[in-house]
Amino acid sequence: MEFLNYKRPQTLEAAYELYRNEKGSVLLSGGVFLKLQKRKIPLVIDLEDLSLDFINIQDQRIEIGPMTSLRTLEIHEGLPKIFNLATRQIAGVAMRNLATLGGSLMGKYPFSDVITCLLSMETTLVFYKYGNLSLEDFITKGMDEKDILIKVLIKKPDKCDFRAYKKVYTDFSLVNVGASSYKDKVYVVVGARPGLARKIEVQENMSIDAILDNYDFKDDLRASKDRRIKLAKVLLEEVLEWK
Amino acid sequence: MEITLNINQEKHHIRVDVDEMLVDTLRKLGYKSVKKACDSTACGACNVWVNDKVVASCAYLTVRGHNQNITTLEGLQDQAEALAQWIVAEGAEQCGFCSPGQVMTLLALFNENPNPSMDEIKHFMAGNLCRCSGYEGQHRGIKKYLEVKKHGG
Repeated sequence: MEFLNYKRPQTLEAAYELYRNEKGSVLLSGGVFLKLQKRKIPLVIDLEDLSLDFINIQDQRIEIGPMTSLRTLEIHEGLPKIFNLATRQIAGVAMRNLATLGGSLMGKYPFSDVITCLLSMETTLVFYKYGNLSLEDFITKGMDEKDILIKVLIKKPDKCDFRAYKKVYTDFSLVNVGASSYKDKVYVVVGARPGLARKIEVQENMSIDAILDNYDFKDDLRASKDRRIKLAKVLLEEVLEWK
Repeated sequence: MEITLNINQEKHHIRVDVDEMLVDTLRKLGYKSVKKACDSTACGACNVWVNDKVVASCAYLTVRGHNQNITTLEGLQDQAEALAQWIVAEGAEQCGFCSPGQVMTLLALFNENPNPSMDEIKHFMAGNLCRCSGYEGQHRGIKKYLEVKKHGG
């Protein structure tokens, strides 16, 4: 990784203008994955001074700033337990103090535990110019415009749970699953298959096998397709215990 | 870029490349307790504190540290020695390469949670790798250190 220039704007508008106008510019959130990339970046725009590190718990929803660290999500006592479950085994504490919610979402990493967790709930991304976009649409359709994520809104579920299987405590997940319920709706997400997490609505009396029929699993160097399916089955049974 | 780093309560006015990582800057400035190993936040050998939070300095841009309080093992000599002697006594200090990162992480844990359970210790230390010890000796040493500390030692 090589940065040619670094700027630290003091307002969202200044950050947005830089991002829009400077070709090849990149937004810096936690920076953990950015440093692993082998490319030359003409301008890095640091979002650190834009007050995007916050958590507001309201009656019906939760608002989280994209600069909130994964460690904060792990230990914040006001958040549902699913946040702790999905973040506590992502590398070590020293990495989770750097990595952010925004960086984890915008990277669309196919192994992401954070995406599976948030996608399993009714989550909306708020962009500076574009406005609201559901996380599901962001994941499946993407967003062409250059914009800055300024807030993540989560509608509080009645119930939710998350499980992941890792070979080693802090490793990437071989497969991860999340589930949530809102009144009469139940959602399930299976990620790290190794494809990007995908959400489905669970119909009444739908078996675990029928749920898994909606997903494509693949082999890679970490696990076989068959192993992933078997693991996903067990994890789904666990997260849907309350159903 | 010209910046000021407050390292172990000492101000350093320095010029750094915009893509320089804190681990490299600290080593250049002589803070050799900070080890560069995996260079990908996986091992914990480069762990330092930024504003009292433990971070992997291999993924922390030095320019972000402008006017921030950075603490390395050199700044925590007394606390580090008090803890490390128990780990050494259990034979868990072998090549010693990972020890500064381990101690920085443990001391950050004790600041957050002065009386952690063994499960909490293992969870907090999971990002610190040691290729020599197998961790059991370290766990025994940490347990004894906390016991002694609890009884006012």
